[in-house]
Amino acid sequence: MAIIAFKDVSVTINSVDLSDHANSATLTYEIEQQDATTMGGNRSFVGGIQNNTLEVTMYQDFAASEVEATIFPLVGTQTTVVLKPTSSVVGADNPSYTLADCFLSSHTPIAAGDVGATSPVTLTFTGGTLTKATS
Amino acid sequence: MAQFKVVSSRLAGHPQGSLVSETDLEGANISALVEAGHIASIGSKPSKIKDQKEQE
Repeated sequence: MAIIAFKDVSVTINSVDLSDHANSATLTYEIEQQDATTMGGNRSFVGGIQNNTLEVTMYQDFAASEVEATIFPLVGTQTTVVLKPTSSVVGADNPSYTLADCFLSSHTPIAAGDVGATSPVTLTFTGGTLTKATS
Repeated sequence: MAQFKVVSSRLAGHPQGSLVSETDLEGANISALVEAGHIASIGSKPSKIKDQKEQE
């Protein structure tokens, strides 16, 4: 096992592979902590429900079946996003993380910055159920 | 079960021109895929009776 530098992360949104437009992906897997402290004891917690967040940044592309066409219809709906450290086959050293039924509440189709600059689009998927697979 | 033809080259695991079912796309937002131009509905498969009539 080696330290990995992310250069080939696989990003599949709603079954559409947009890896070649993505340049950043951050998945946060969270189980909410619930207070279970009792009299006479110290602060104690138990696990509650999942509260996941996935932030993906990609370069905007208005061509047919590319970024804009894929993302725009997903706003306000639930979908599934799959992340892998590399585009290689799933395995113990390349697990897949599937965030099912996550919600996309907003999208910024045009985020024009400086003249001549690329237009990155940042998407935040929230909620859903995260599963990890190694085979 | 509805079937769809893959019309874009971006659908993960399904090459352009192949057929997929709702089961193949489990977890995906199918209407968004149609709207985005990744898949197209091909309608229901013709029945055998209709095929026979067409041959006659």
